[in-house]
Amino acid sequence: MKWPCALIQPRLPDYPDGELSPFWKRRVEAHLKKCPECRRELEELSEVVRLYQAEPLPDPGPAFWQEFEQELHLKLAQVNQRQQEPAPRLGRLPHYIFGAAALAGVVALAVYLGPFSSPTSTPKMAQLQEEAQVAPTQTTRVQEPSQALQPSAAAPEPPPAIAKTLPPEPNSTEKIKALADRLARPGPRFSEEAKVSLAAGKLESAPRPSSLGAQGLWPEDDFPSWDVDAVVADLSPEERADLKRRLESRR
Amino acid sequence: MTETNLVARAQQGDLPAFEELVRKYQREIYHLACRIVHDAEEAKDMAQQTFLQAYVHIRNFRHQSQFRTWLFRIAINQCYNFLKSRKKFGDPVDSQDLNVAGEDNPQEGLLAAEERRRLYAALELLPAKQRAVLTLKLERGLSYQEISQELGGTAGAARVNYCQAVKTLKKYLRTEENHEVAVRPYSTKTAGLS
Repeated sequence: MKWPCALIQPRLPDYPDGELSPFWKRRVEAHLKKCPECRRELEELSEVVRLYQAEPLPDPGPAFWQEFEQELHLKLAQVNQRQQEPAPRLGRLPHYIFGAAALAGVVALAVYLGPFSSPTSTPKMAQLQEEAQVAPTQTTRVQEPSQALQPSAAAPEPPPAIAKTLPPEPNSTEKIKALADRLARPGPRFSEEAKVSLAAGKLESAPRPSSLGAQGLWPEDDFPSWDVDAVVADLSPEERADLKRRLESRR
Repeated sequence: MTETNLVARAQQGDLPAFEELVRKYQREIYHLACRIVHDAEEAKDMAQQTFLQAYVHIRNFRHQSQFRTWLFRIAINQCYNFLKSRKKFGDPVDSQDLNVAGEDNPQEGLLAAEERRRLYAALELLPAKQRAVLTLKLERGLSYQEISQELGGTAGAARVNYCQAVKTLKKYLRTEENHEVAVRPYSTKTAGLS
């Protein structure tokens, strides 16, 4: 192939009525006048195009299109019905909501299980459990003198706290007065109360109300519980009313 | 009612308006699918899938192009995906068995039938994109710029595809002619001997 033909032949499919620029149209036309090889090439290409255009796809006929439209109508109606149904509520929420909820759950679980699984907190728990195991033995030790001092305690199975705080009954009026004094005083902090209830025998460092202990309302090693219900459990209704009156007069 | 109004009503979920658009374009879509997939039944499925996809996604049509261009783009993508899956799953296609509805015409001459067979066999050799370009160029008379809008790519790529398709067809048809010329003397000789 000569070099002018190599330039012209790629443009031959567009020559007769294609999208060639006027410049190339003039060059192809001039070249075709003097090159029989390119003229033959152009004839063959035109023959191919003619053959293609002479063989259009025949129309399948009205029956085919009727069936086509019926099938398509059914499919479109199904799609239309599916589109008009409201989407489930959960499906409309953005996906990151589920992710955030899952993350919050994981964080809550980690916070809940963290102190129990961390190695630093284990000794504390063990210490608390040990104290809880030691406490009942000491309570019984404390209860013995209180039971000895109070043989007529008729309360059925008083809790250990009540047994600890029950003073020897000197007199009903004095007892109510002492209780009123005790309840009117600001109570100890929660930590002190916890220490009392869990480890009654290990409170050497804790401050003690020595004045009440000096009055003989309870033993020196015992420490009063600040649970009002436990304190007034063994009082008669008259004594409770008297105690209430005294407390209200101090307010 | 104009096409723009029909599209606007279809976008609001008006099924009869969309079916009006279907009736307007179904023949062109079906013929394009026939040319690309070379199977009348599959072409029918492709055409129906095209309209289904168009109806599902018609709210995404933003009038940045003509509705016709958008629809043909969907059809071409459907056909490409079908050919890709068929190639992947190894479903062989015999181009000579292209069974286009209405093809059997008793008054058609044998020569025309032979030409058609050769043409379809040659078309089968072309890549799907070149077949699509040939259809759009020679049957619908689109320019390269319009073809590139429907098929993607550039106008230059559409032109290259068209020229390559025409040359491949010419080469194959000439080979077939030479083969027939080589066969015919043998048959006439044998006929003469007998």
